Amino acid sequence: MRRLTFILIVMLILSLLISNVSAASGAININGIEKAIDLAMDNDSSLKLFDQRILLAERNYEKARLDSKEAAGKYWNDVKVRISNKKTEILIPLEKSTIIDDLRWQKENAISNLRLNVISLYYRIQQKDSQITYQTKAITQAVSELNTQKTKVEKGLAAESTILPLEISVDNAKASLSNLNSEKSSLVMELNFLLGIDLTSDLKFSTLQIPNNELIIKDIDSLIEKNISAAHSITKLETEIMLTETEKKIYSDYSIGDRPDEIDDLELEIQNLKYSLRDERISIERSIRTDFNNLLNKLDTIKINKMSYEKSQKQLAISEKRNKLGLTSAVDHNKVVLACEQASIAYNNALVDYFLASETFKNNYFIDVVLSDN
Amino acid sequence: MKLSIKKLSVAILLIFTLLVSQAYADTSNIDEVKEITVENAIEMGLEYTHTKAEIEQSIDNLWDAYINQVQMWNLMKGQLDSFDEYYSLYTRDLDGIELEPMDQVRLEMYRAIYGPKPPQIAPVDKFNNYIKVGQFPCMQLYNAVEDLRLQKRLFETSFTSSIQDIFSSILELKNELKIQNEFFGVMHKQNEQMHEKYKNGFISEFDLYSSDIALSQQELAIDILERNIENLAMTLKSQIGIPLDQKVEFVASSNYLSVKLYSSYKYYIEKALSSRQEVLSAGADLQVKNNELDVVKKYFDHEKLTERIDAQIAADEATIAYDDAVNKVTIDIKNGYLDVISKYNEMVLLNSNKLSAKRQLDQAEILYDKGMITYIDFLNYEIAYNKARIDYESSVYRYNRSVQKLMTASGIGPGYFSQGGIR
Repeated sequence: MRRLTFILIVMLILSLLISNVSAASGAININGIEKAIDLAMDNDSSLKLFDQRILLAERNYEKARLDSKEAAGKYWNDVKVRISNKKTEILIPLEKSTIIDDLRWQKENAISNLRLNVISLYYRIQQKDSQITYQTKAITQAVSELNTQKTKVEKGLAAESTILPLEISVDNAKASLSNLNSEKSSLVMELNFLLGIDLTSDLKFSTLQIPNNELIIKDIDSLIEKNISAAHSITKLETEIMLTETEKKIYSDYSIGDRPDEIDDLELEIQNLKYSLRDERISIERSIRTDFNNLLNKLDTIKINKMSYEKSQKQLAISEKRNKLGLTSAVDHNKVVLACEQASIAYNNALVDYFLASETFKNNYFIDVVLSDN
Repeated sequence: MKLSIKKLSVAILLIFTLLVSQAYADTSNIDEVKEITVENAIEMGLEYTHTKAEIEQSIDNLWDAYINQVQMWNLMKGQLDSFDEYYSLYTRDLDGIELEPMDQVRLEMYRAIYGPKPPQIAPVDKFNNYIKVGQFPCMQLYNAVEDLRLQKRLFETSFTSSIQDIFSSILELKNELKIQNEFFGVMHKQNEQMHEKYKNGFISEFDLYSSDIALSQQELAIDILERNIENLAMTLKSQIGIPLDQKVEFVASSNYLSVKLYSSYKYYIEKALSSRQEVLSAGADLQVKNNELDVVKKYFDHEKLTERIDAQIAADEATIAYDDAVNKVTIDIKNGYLDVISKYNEMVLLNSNKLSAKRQLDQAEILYDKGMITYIDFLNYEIAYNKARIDYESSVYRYNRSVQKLMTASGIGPGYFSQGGIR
């Protein structure tokens, strides 16, 4: 009876664990992007490792604090021992506390990057599926054109040499489909790896609507200013300068006799750190301005592709009318239909590119998010 | 001595910082358009970067250590010389040869310092206690200083090459922008004509719509191109210390569309083997190791003594490292030369594509004027020619850059491998 209860409890826990992923007919169903993100978070071993490293860093900090109290009243009979005691008292707790902050930031950063990777792969796979569907139709169209031409040749209405280019078109279309399938497989494997599922598993997930919002950045200069003052890389360098200045102060306050060589070395180190800080500030400004320009470029690409799509829709409407009137063949009309579908895919790809770039922008920089419908 | 050189270096670095910050502050009027040539950009960049000052600092520190070591070696050498002199005076005195009064004084002085008999130092002790710790570090430190000086020169050429590369890419895109703007002008005129034709009922609404759309798309493509230029310009500005929002006009100091000539493979390989940092550095190291071996041979007659074997191994290893450097540089130059040839062939091919596209466009214009092809078909020929023109002119920039890169690679460097492969 006890064993049965134990088995039931284990089964219940297992069913709860796998409720986010349901397998049906060999394929694994992912119920929504948030579930996929949760799965990836649960699966990521580096995140768990971060928790352990933070715990260890906190313990080290506690030890450094105790050592600091002890070092405050420690006896010294040599300048080197005196400086070492002062470092234990003042500098080391500061260094250990910085390590904790850095690890916490690294963990937060790893979480947001993981989230972004899952979202990106989810949308890329969805887009790849649309391209595969289109390419399958393109093959049918190419085969149909080839067959029509063969009939013409059989009836003596066209030369035999006209068949070869169409056969090449069919082969090219098939090769493109094969490429698309390989690209999709590689994306699926990447996502499976993140979700902790068998790499070769077939994923099935609910179709997501492609977001069509514009990220509004009212004042790029104030955004840069905000990021330059609050970016992790900047605060990290500022902390390093503060720590090195503290070390220099220890040498200058607690040395006896000649000015020690270490002060010169530390002054140089501070100088180099200040150069790095200067370069980092410029680097942040440059990356924000460049990424912002790239966002605007992607927005313009959406506009260009939207115009092409709208034009192809008009061409389709004209072709439909001509087809009804018998002025165009079914094969020629299908060509227009496919061109319209291709333009739609290109437009959607541009929307996805922009959406992912804007998500990355929001992830990388401190930004007050304002979105507007395109 | 050590302290004063260090303090001087710190002071120089601080002055340098002030100068750099002053240089940055000088460009405060960001609304004023600043004209910059590639030469200005290189000069400004070399002034702005602190890597050069850091290498100079390391050179100073090492030179300082070298001077200390030379002083120590001179003292050791003085002691060895005095042993030899004591031995010579002592044997002459023992053999009953009358010594000059000054020599007699010196002999007595040595007796007082070193005892009644001259100290007997075995060659192995002389080597281990004097040569190995006195003379050899001098040679090694001098070599290290020379190596750092080479690194400084390498950094300067590497930095220059990177600035030239970005500058040329900016000019390439600016050239493309010029062509795209010219094309926009042509399209704009055609669009006006299309509106006129539509009013007179000569063309369909769809043809007019296609013309409008093509014009808008070209306008957006120009905006994208302008932003790409701005991004590249920001990369350059950040490397040469100009505020990113400063307006800058990048001026070509030479005609970038004229095709540079390249020399023979033999010229580049000979130049590279006599100038590349890897070869020079390995060559200097080989020389130090050979010198050390020669010195060791003087003190240890037998080939199978550990000191001889160690010195021989070090010299052999340095020979292998030198041969390896020569081999790597040879492969590097060969790849670079092949890259130049490939870029040249690509340029020739794209030029023929451009001429062919122009012929097709001329024919299409005749057909369009006669109403035998639609505006969309004609527009496609125009777009194709425009693209072929951009492709050709961009290939000239790429080819010229590859020649420039080969020139750099056959000088002190850097080579292709250290720049991240051939582009």
